[in-house]
Amino acid sequence: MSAPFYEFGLIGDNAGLMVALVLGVGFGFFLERGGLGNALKLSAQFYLTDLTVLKVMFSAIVTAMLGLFWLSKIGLVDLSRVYLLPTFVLPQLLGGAVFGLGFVMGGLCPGTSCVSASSGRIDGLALLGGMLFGILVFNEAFPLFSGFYYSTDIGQVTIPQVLGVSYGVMVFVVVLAALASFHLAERLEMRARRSAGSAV
Amino acid sequence: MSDATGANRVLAGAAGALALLALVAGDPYRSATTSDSGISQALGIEIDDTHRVSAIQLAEWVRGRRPGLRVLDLRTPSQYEEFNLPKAELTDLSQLGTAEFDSTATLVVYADDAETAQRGWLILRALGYPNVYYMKDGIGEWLGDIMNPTISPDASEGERAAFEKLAELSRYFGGLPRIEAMSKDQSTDEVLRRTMRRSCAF
Repeated sequence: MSAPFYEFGLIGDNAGLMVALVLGVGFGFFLERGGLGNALKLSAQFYLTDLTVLKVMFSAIVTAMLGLFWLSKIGLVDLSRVYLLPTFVLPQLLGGAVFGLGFVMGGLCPGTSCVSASSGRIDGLALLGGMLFGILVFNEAFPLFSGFYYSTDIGQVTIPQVLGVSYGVMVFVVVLAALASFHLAERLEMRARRSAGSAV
Repeated sequence: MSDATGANRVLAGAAGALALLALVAGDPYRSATTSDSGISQALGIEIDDTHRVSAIQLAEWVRGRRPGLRVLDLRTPSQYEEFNLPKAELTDLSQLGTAEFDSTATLVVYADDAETAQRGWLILRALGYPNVYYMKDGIGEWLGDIMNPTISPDASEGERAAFEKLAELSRYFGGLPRIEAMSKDQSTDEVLRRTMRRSCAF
């Protein structure tokens, strides 16, 4: 079969929503099983004592990237039909900074706050409530900053297009960076465990 | 070495090997055009000329009121508004998978290009409709063969007799058969403009 199924009309709106539901439930389940519903575990990322988030996210990126690259090469995925979000440089830089600040302060990101809330954690519920309130405020206040929101639009671009390198080089560099960061993360965690052991 | 560490190393090795191969594999976007043939192979359905319908054949089906004939235009709404084939229904290619037709219907898909028409054909065949056809050259073929058929002044008697049948079909749809050598460099747009000036949009 060739993907994206929805784009080729092989599945309709309802089936697409069902697939999204199944994938979402699966994603949440594995995040929870990986311990990513726990704000303490996520916060430990920023103290370099537990780098599970980095390893999980980088693993997901590498898996998806290699999967898409090779499935496209053998003709099972049409990458030209995969939607790319347009890039708005300054608004997205600011959004990233706000996201990071919220992550550090709350110990959870949007996805993991849903996971945390669904597993009954109070902090997760509080963050989920805050997120919904933020969405409401954002939408109500949108006319005030819509000019900035749509500024510095460079369209649907990819990093290889911007840097002028091939997709293969990009895949190689990202995988190399991921493997190096996994190795570094293991060493940092080992050092943190040792120092925690000696402190006791 | 624990089992988990061993598995991690195997996965890391596999990722590294795939990444190394990616360096020399080329642009993944260039392979994208094979996706339709990928679907075709997976479903065991072959696209070939036996599923192609010519503009002349379609015109005869329309004039003969072939039972269950549905003509699906896969172009944009503005292109459809500008000119469409008789009986044609504007159909969004992305919605084709959810559209419902009678299983005995004869479905004909067309667009501006063969690729889109074949993609529509493939989706309908994958959904199990047995009588599906595509027009390879789409609207251009209709404009050339039905709306503006021409015959060379030095054509043989046999060719003239065949042309007379075609001319009759052409006139039925408001076409203008002519005895002249049609310029080869006329674009579909030029033919369309000329046809539109004759006010024979359906």
